[in-house]
Amino acid sequence: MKSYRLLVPYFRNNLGGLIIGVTALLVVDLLQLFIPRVIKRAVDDLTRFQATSSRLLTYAGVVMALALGIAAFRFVWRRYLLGHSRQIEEGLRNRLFAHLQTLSYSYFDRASTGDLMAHATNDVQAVQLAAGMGLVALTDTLVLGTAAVGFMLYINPLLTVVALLPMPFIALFTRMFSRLFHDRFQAVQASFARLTERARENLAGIRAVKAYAQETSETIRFDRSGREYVGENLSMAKVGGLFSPMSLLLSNLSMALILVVGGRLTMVNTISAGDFVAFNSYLLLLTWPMMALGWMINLFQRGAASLGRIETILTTVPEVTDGGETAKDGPIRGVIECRGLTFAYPGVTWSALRDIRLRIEPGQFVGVVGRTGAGKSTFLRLIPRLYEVSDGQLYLDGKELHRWSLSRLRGSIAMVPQESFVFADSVRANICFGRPRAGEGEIVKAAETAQLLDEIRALPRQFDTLLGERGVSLSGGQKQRLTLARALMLERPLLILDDCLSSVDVETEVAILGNLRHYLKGRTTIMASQRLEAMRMADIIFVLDQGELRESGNHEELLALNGTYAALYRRQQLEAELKGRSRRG
Amino acid sequence: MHGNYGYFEEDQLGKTYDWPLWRRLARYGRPYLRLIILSILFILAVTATELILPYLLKIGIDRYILPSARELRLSVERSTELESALAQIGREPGLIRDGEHLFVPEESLRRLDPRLLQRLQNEGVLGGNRIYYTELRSAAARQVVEAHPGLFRVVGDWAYIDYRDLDKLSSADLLSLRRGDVSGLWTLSLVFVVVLLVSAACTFGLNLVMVQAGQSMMHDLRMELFTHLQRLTLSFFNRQPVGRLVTRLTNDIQNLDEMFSTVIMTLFKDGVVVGGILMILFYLDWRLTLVSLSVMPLVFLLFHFFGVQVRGTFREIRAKLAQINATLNEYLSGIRVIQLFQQEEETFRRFHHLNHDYYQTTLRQITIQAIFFPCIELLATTTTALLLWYGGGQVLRERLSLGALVAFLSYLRMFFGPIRDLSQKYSVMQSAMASAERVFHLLENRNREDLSRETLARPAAVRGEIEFRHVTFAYGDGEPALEEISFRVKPGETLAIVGVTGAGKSTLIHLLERFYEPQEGTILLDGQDIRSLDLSWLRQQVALIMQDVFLFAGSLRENILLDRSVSPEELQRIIRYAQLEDVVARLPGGLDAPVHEGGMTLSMGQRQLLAIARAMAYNPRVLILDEATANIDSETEYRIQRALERLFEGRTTLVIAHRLSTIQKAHRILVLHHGRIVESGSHGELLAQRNFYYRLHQLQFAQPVGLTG
Repeated sequence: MKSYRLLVPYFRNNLGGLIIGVTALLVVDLLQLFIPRVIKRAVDDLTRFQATSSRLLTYAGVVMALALGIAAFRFVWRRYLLGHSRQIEEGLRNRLFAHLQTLSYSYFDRASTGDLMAHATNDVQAVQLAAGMGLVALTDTLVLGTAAVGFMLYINPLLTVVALLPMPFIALFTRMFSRLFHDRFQAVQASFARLTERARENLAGIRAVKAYAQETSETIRFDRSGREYVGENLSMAKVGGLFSPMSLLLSNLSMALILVVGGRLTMVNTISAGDFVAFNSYLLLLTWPMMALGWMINLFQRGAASLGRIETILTTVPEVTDGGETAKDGPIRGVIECRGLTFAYPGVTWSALRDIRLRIEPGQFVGVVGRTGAGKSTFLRLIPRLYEVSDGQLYLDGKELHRWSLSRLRGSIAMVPQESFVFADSVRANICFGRPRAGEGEIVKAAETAQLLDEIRALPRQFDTLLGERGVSLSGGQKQRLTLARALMLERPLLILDDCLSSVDVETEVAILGNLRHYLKGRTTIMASQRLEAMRMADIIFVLDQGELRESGNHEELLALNGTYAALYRRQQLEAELKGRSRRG
Repeated sequence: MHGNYGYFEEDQLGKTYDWPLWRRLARYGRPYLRLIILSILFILAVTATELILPYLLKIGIDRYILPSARELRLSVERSTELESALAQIGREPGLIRDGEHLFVPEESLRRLDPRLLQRLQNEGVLGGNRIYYTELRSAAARQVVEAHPGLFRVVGDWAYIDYRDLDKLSSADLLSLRRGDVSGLWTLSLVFVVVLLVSAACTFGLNLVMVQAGQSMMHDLRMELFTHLQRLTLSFFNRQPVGRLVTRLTNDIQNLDEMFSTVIMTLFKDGVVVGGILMILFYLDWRLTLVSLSVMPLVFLLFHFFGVQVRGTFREIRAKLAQINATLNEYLSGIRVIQLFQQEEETFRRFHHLNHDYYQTTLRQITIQAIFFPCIELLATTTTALLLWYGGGQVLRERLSLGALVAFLSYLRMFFGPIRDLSQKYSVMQSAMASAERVFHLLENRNREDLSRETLARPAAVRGEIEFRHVTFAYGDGEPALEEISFRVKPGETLAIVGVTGAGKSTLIHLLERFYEPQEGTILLDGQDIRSLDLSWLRQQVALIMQDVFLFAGSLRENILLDRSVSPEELQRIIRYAQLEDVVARLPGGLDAPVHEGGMTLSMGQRQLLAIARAMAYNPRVLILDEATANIDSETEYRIQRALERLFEGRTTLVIAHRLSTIQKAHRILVLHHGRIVESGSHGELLAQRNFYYRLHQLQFAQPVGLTG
């Protein structure tokens, strides 16, 4: 239960507000207890014919005054205690997000976005509920419960004992019940998940369903899952539906006992009629804390479980951590050296790269070529330390990669990953994502270089057009050019392009590379591509196959070698020829 | 600079007063009318018991704990008032006449006109003291009375005593005297417990019936939606994200169920409770009722004023939370870009901003509720004060019994409970109505496949002749994906379709399965236009094996057979022919081993074999095969070839070929390019032409290393 420590700072920082809130809550509870006392006095007076109109008016006035006080203090505790829980919610969510941002690629390879989102919303909210309403319920139960019992004892101890007789049964019943209910509830949730999965499966595989004319049997299967879900719900209702009548029955049983025992005591003048009425009021007051007990326990249990899950994330240590670089290091020149680079993805036994040895000089245009799965992307991802390599294998300017500070390393690299990610934001925001305060001229220039300007100009609101689900959706090629423009905005010494123009047609790609020629001067560029046409301008090309470096050299040298590269190139020539032949119009 | 990240449509709220929607929803209740009526009966019973309980308490106090009578002095000159009072009281039980003194139970007195009572009191006819009276049934009681001759007065079997004099008796004497009252209390508390039991039983019954009815209705709706979805065309599914449709089938309907089971029923119950309480209160004392309800206009005003605010912030909170979710989803999906571009601080700043915005809104909600709820509570307590003041005065004036006042106090507490919860229920209803709207909107989608079974032909025997006549097809309004396609395949023939990616191969086979309808031309099976054939029958005759074999969650056996049933021997034969014997042997559980999408149990090659087995079990006359392009090891490749040979035997086959061996075995090859047939003929013929196919062949099969693999 160490996870409670997560909340300590919030409680400490908010101590003043918490004290005010809890005090107000106590005052409310206390004042609430006085109302039955006043009613008792009034009823007693009426019984004894001692009541007068003015006296009754005083009682009514006292009740009103109490009510006003209750309302005022209620406002205070609601504002402070619930506000506090919301502060916890905000703080935890911020911490969670900030921490998630420090975690490495490999973490996100494993964790699903859906799960992480559930933590940031559902779990954080469960903690908020426990810290807010849970705390209030706890205080309420303790204060109201004890005070009500106290007053009852004051009126008559014997009667109190009688009234409390069913209480242990209620507690026992609640405990047993919550366990049973929890199980049934889990069963319902599981059944709901199955139903959801059944629906998802059917809809995802709707082509197969239609191709095999499986609509009827699928409907029967779905009906079965649906009925199972209904059945689980009924089985839960058998338990859940029993709870409220049973606890009502048990707590009202006290009332029946009080009627007999208390009535008798009133008859023999041990207690007054007013006492009898007041006693009943206190008993009513006690019912709520008893009923709330189960709910409260549940709230705390869920909050604790959620807090545990949040803690698990917060204690996950990022695999890639900052290097111990000192300030005296000069600017990054960009000599990249692989000295027997071997890399396997975490949790995978098979190596994606094996014993790669190569050297990239500053200012070079480097091509990386190979078929899908050859290890091109893996190689490119290792340079900005998206994944961690073993010691002594990868060097930048003669120093091992992890000895550089992460911010300096990544700050010298502009990378366009293979999968182009577009934020659901404006075109402008997407392009200047890395430099939010860039000038208009630069944005236009980047878009121009990426051959995107004309298309942006054609959009309804040009650079301010929203992209994504509720905006314009871009084609694959447009997305790739947008992400390229985004990287170009960075003006970094090292540019890494991971097959980022695959969906762009050849003419546009050639045009983009032409535009880039000027931009690339003085920069080191590493570009992986399926298309070899683009490799003509490379200073050096590395050909990878199944994680191994097979050939290296420039375009002409590799063609002359007549190996893998030459074969690939001929094939693409042929393909281009085929396409060219049949292009219509 | 940061824009709107969009929010989930699930968080829109519906109108609660959309009556056509309500009418439509009500239709689903019709089959369960009996359950609904039963639950209404339960509700009435539960409400009745809940209302009876405080009433029993009142009886206990008035009749047994504090039974009192007042003295009417008949010695005073008889006025007309007294005469009419006596006439009204008549022969009430417990009426004791002792010479000139008539002792009337307070209960009977309260039935008189209050003004008459006032006059009697003024005239000195009505005594001011409260008097205890009892029937002397036991010897013990008689002894007590005889032991205190100065205190009691006895008339026949009845004794009466001033309440103040009762204090002079010892506890033991009091108990002996009031044995009847005590036993009355026992009976009463027994009744109390019985009512409690009935109440508990009815509540339990209500809960069960409500869940049963609600769940059944929602199941019907869900099945209607599911069946409807099964009939929609593929073009519909191409446009709809799967997640959204799943939400319709699950969460949206769940929302409706929640509304049904928790809101409508409790609203109804609350209505009955409030109505019942009002009736009882009016019956007890209409003036006091009016006085204590004088705060109601204020309550309505509060509701009107704060209700708008509460709903407004509620909506805002949902929207902001949805925005946080959407942004979170976005940032977590794009975390790699964020890290690469070192924008962690910027994204955190934005996230923090959204989160803080949300926090501010929740604070506003807390503040509003911190005013609203205490105010309602304040008004509820105000009624208590009013009761004490005005009701107490009524008791003083003998127009109300003490028991009735106590009952009033507890009834009014019950009265305010439902009112407090009203705003919460309102929001559940809003989101449920939005869900209902979305579900019905989907149900109204007319993008249906033709499935009317009666009118369409289902020929008994199929030879398997396929013909395309001038077929032209375009997806949506785009360029044609296929243009002027005409060819014929004789029964039992194998036709290979080749072409580069995007040539229109898949489209062609989709048309034959009638996933889409061509804009021009006709497709014929055995000379009959496939549009005149029953759709599901057609798909049973024409089996499609796709590249990505879809696995249904279930056992291997279920995945092979789907809805077919074959003999065990036949199944063994299929498994043998489909080269699946090794796979079955290796899987734990064999044929019963569970397989599912996303599971790693079957490799790509094994999935292909499974699809072949599936097609064999289906035993169609026409087979359409989209050969897998993924890398499959040579061993499996060989098995697939063997299995396919078996499968092709005697069946008309259209195959999108990627393997040279398949093409070579085909009777004829159709070369597609940009949606048109550019060449056709046998492998040898086409190679000899040294044209398009020749190049294609070189591209795909002549080179040892391929990039498009």
